Amino acid sequence: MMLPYELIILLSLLLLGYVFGRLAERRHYRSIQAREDQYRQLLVLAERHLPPEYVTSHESRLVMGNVVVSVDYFKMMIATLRNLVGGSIGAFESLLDRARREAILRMQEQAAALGTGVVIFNVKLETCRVSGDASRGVGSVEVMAYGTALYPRGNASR
Amino acid sequence: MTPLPDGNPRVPEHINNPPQNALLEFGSLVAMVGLVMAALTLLLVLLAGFLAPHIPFRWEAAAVSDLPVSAPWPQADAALNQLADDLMASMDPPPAIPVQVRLIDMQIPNAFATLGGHVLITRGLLDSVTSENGLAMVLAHEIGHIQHRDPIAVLSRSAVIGLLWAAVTGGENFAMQTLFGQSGGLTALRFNRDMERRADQYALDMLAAHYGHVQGADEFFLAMVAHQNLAHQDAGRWQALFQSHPLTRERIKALQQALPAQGEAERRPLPPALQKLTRPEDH
Repeated sequence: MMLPYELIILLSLLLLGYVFGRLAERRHYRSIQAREDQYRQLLVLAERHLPPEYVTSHESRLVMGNVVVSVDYFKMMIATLRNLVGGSIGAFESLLDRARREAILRMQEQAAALGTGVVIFNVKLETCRVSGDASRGVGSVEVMAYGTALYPRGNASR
Repeated sequence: MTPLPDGNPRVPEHINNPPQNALLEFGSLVAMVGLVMAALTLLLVLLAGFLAPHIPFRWEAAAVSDLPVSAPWPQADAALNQLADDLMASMDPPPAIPVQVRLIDMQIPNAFATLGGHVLITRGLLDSVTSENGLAMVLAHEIGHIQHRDPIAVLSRSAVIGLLWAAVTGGENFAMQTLFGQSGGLTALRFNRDMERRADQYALDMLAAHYGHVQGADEFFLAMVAHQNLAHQDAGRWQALFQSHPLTRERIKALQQALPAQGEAERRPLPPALQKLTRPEDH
């Protein structure tokens, strides 16, 4: 029996989404963990109040990291089905976890350019859908991390 | 303020991104949603089947005032309508819903019953029957569909199924419709076959009432099978027809079992107006 061509297209898209989405996710997590180790000492804090001794010895600068991630077809299908029955959408949880950590890493990368002894205070995260509409599920999501980097006064800064 | 930490903590991976088997989740979701959708579809199909015949026919007729196809052979139409009226008048009691027959210029042998009590007969069908009895069988079959209110039942069913899909998928979700739409199609086809069987039985009763026998009832179906065997290289053109009128062989078997073993009863020739069709003037 011949499968209807719509079903073939659908299954190919699902397979494509599943295989490539999974590969990309694994690779991304490995990269995230390696870079988090690299920036282990570049402190990222949600603390809003600066330590008094920093006020005289440090200068401040806004740093931010920004990432846009897209949902693959497989994740979108799972989410669409999940929308009907309710419950947590695990496929999106890992996606957004990656996006948040990647955004923080990019912010740290920017802060690292300010030299040694940098601490980022008052870190905040913003999330925003940038494509796709509510009826068709999430298309792409932007996550932005920003904070105030304090770096020693002597550091050469550009 | 507390002293600053020595470094950023290592994130425990299993909290914000718990391990999961996405394929298993997908499979169970499809099964769950599929089951519910199948149950809802079945319920709506049954409801539509029960309720649609109770829609007053004059509402249906008012909605479909006239056919949007031309009538190239008015005299043949008159002969066909006469035959339909004679067939209906032979039933006791005569059927309640008036039927209008029209001959259309199409080479593929076919007949349709549509909304508003309209029956369309193609030119090709007239070529594939040899007697009035063979034509009457097809006509009576379509009259049966109309008396059973099958056209509006089919329409109501596809309307409620369409509404259900639209409600669940948000209107235009290609993936969801593809994933679950297939099962809906199969259900619809099965019910159609029931309608076909019922219309066949109705037509046999009508033929028996009108002619006193049912000889010639299988004429059209035999011609269809001959076409089917001939037309393998021409399959695309015939495919749609066989899908909407399935089980031709099975129906022939049922029809031939209904034929009496009393030998060849007399078959009437086609009415003169239907024997020689002049092509409508081409412009």
